[in-house]
Amino acid sequence: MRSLILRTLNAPLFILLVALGAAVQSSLFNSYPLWYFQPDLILIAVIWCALRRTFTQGGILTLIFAGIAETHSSAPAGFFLCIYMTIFLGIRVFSRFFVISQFASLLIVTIGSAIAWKLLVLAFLVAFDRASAQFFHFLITVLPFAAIEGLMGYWLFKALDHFDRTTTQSETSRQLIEDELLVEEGL
Amino acid sequence: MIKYLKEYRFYITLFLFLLIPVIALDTSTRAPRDYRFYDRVILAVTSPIQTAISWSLEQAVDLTQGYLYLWNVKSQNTHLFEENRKLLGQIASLKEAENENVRLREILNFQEKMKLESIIARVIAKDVSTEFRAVRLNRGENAGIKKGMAVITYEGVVGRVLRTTATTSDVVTILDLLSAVDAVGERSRARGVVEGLTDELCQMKFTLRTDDIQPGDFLLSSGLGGIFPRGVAVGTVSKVKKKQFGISQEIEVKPAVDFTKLEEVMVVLNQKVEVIEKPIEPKTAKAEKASDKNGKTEKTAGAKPAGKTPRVPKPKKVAEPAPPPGGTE
Repeated sequence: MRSLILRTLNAPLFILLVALGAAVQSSLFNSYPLWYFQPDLILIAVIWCALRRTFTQGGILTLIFAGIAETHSSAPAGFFLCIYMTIFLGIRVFSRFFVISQFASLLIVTIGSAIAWKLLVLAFLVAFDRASAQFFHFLITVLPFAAIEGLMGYWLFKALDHFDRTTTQSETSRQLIEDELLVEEGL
Repeated sequence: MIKYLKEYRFYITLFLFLLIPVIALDTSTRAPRDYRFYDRVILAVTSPIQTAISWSLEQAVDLTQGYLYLWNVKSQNTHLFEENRKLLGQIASLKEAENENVRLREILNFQEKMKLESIIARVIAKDVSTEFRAVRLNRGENAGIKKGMAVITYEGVVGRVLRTTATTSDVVTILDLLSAVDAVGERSRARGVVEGLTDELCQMKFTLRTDDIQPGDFLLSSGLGGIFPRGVAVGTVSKVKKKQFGISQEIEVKPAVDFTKLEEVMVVLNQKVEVIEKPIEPKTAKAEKASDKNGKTEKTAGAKPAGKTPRVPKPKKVAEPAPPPGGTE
């Protein structure tokens, strides 16, 4: 019973953690020049969803996380939804061709996703005709962003793994999720 | 039907995951987004944390400045340590208080000078992405802040309120890619729209190529659009690039406000409505005669039909005491 309750609480708690993470991130990195080293905790959560959740659950969580990002930004509605969903689907596709089993490979995916995130933002801004001088901004910020994302990922993925083990409790339940994932994607 | 739904469940879900963001993006380009119910729930949870973190950081800086400095003094002078510790501690806290007082006094002076009804708010958070440059303030609807209000400091224009909750408000700064402020050159009166460009610079658009604008020129808000009060500093022209052909010129603007040190801001609650009409004096008998001779009645704003006592038009209701008759900005 306890494990069932914990498993049910997994998703709401995950959402709450991400919301708190976004709040901490935006206020802790509020001052200059710290804002150039602001990590994107939501991106890490999206990567986790893409690799450790089923397609449907991960997708819904990604949409919710993108909504949280939009409440903390002046970006037009739907902007982050598009970007995070693209990242989510991209990682799902990537994980079908490459095995991401080790922690190190997870970090490589995170760094790659951070660069892809920046490129996507740039591409969307070009589409909105708001990209003047943004290419230079991209060049300045992309490497610190990827580095800080990788660094944060190292700790956060461990924490998320611990969180998932605590809330889903048993190895059997994890196996069930993985089986469901394989069936859904026709493997 | 259910069989097909089950069979193509993956593709249907994929289609929905792609469709939802696109619809959201499409609707946002048609109408600006306000906070929805669930956004408010998220903010109710997160904004106290942002306020707490912002406060804690401030306290940590105070402590570091006060205490660590004293720690060095201790190693240098053991005899005067106790006295120095107390005095320097006081100095550190007084200095911080003095700095805050100076900032607040400057805001107050500016407030009085500009005759604005405004409230002071503190910046508690920044945008989650570095591409967009919004800030969050610690005051919202409860303090009278509404969407679209101007946010300024004694240095100049900060931005406008994008969204509000009961206790917080989001401000799009003039550095943001989606902001636009109508500005006018102080020297040449050349007009243009100042938009965000980078973390430190803005660009002035739609200024005619023939307009006289030079590096160093000071730009002020024109008051057009009704959001920003007229005459507030927007920035200084830092670079002008005139092409040989084309309608407009490329102008880079350094904002008047130092966004790296932005702590307190003023939200303009109500712009004073300037009385631009001169109170009309009752017509003299001579003037009336002259107008009768021409067979025409001179039409003047506020003039009353003959036979009735002419009245001085009442100035519009203002927040501040009315200026002397005939007094304009």
